[in-house]
Amino acid sequence: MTDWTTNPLERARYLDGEGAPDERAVRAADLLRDTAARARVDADARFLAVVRRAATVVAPAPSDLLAARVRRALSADRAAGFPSTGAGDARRTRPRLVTIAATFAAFAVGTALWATSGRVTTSTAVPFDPRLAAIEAYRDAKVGVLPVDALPGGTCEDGTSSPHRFPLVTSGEVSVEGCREQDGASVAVLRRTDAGADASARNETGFVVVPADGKSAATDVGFTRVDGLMVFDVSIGRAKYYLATPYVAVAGTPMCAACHGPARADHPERNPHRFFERAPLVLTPAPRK
Amino acid sequence: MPDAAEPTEFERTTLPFLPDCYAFALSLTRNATDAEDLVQETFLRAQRSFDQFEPGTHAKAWLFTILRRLQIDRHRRAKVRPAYQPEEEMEVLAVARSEEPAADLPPGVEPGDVRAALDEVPDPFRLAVRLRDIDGFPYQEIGRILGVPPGTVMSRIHRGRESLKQALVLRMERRAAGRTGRPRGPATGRP
Repeated sequence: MTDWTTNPLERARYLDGEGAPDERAVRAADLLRDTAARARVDADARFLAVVRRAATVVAPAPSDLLAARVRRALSADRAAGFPSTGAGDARRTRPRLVTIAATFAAFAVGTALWATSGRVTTSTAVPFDPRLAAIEAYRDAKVGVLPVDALPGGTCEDGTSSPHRFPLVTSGEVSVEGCREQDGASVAVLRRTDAGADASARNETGFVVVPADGKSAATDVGFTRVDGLMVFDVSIGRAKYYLATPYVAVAGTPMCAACHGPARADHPERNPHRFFERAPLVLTPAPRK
Repeated sequence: MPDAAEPTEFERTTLPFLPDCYAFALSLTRNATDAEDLVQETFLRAQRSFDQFEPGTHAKAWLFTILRRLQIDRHRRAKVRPAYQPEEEMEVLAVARSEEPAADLPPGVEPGDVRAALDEVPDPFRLAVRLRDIDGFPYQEIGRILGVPPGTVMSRIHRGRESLKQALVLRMERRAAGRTGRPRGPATGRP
C-alpha cells in the first residue's frame, strides 16, 4: 500500500527519517514497487535538498564580545552563590537545601522551646574579664600586635578609663604603646621608659583600665597567677587597673618591680603596697569586639 | 569553587553551542541586541538548572528549550500576542494543501535565497522548519523546544515548507523579472 505517499505530512515524515525501523523498511519497499509514489516522494526530496543546503550557509555570528560577556555573567552568578560546577550542581544544591532545612528546623525547635519555657532567655555571651583581656594584650604584644583601634575622644584618650591617667604613665615611668576600647574599658600595652632598664626588664605589660566605684585602695594590690603570668590589679580613684606581666619579671623581687622596675625593687622600703593573691583564674579566651 | 580561568563543567558542556543559540535567538527576536540579551539570560538560567540536565542528552536542544521559554516569558511580560493562527486552523490549512502535487523549484535557487525566504515565513512555521532543516532536530526534540505535540510539529513543518516554497518561487520570479526587465505580474505562489 502506497497511500501514505499522497499525504505530504507522511512523505515529510519519511524523508525526515522519522518512524520506527520496521515501518521505514515497509515504506522503502513500497517506493520500489510503485513508481508514481516514488515520484511524489522524490519531488519532495529535491525540494528538501535545496532547503537543507541553507544549513551550509554561515549563520549570523554573534559579536566577539558575547562569549566573554556570557562568561562574566556566569561567573558573577556563581559568585552570588548559584550552582556552578556543572555535573556537581545537583550535589551542591542538595546539601545547601539540607543546610537550609536543618537551620529552619533548629530555629523552629528553638522558638518552640522558648515559647513553651515561659522564661526569657538570657545572653550566653562571655562577660568581659579584664584579667583575661590584659593577658591577651600582653601575648599579642609579645608577637608584635599592638591594640590600635582607639577612637578620638574615646576611653583610650579621655575619661576615667584612659590609660593615660595611670600614675606610672603620668610620671613617665611607662608609656602607652597602643590602646583599643572594649566594653567601656581600655585595653592597652605599656612599656617601661627607664633608659637603664635591661632587655628583660622591658617586657611588655598588658594593661586594662576599667571604671571603678571611686574607692581608692592603691596600697592594696591583688595578683592572680595564670599560666606563667601574673595579673596585678589595683584600684586608684575612679579606675581599676589590671597589668599582665610574666612571672619571671617579678620572681625573686619585690612585686612592685612588676610595674616600677628595678628602681623600686632596689628600695623595697619605698614600697607602699600590700599584695594578696586572688583565687585562681580559669583560662578561657577573652572576648573581643 | 572552581578557578575563575578554568571552565566549569557547565561551560564546557554548553558554551560550544553559544553561536547556535545566538542564531536561534536572532531568528526569534530578529534583533541582534535582543538576541544577545536572550542568549545571556538563557545561559544564566541554564546554569542555575544544570542539575536538571541529563548528561548524554542533547545539550543544544536543552538550551534551545530554555531559550524558547524565556522568549515566551518575555512576550508575556510585554503582553505581546503571537501573530499566528490557532493550531486548529493551521491543521486545516495543512490538510487543504495536502492534495496539491509537489512541484520543483525553479533553477538557480541558492542557499542564501533559502535563508532569506525563510525569514518571510510566519514565525511558528519558520521555527519548525528551521529546527528541522537547519538545526537537524528530530520531531520529538522540536516538540520539546516549541512546547507542542509531535502532530503539531509535523503540521508546522509541512506548512512552513509550503510557505517557504512559495516565498522562494516568488523570489526567483522577481529575480528573473529583474534580469529581463519585464514587469512582474501578480505572484500566485505557484509555478
